[in-house]
Amino acid sequence: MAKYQQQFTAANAALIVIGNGQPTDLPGFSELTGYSGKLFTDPTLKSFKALGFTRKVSGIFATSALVGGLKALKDGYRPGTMQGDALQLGGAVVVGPGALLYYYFRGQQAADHPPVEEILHSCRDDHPPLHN
Amino acid sequence: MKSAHDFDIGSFGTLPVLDAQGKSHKLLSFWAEQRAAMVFVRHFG
Repeated sequence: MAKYQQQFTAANAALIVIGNGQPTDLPGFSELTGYSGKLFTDPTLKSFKALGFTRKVSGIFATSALVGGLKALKDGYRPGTMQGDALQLGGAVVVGPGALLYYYFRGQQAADHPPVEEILHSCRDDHPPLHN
Repeated sequence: MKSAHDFDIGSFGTLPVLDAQGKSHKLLSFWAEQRAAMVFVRHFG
């Protein structure tokens, strides 16, 4: 996400990354990923659960997750020691201003990442909310 | 299985997240004045 920060700023949108480890893990995450923007964590997983994001063993051992992990390594992403809940998968939402939802993505496997171009597109002023 | 239609943004916004100093922030503070793209990640240290 680090390389997309400027594009979100240009779209007048805030990019916020939320993990699920401890607060003390966050500096290491920034160092590893190069992401220097807004970074938070939810060790309780309540926000992940509220969004319906998947937490399952099969999500991290699926074949496509392994392929995705290998691709990430090839692209220069090197996972360190897992911190937080290893079974919890991620996702993305775009909200606001106000209580309007513009984008929703739920990862099904460990290697699933929301397409950043889709997220950016949903940040455009003329993009309608998913439902009113 | 939940979908985009199944969650209440209002109550979701009251949930807290923590910064690196351990300070609590309600999610709704992120989208009060501008659109907020929130990416929830699996956490690698």
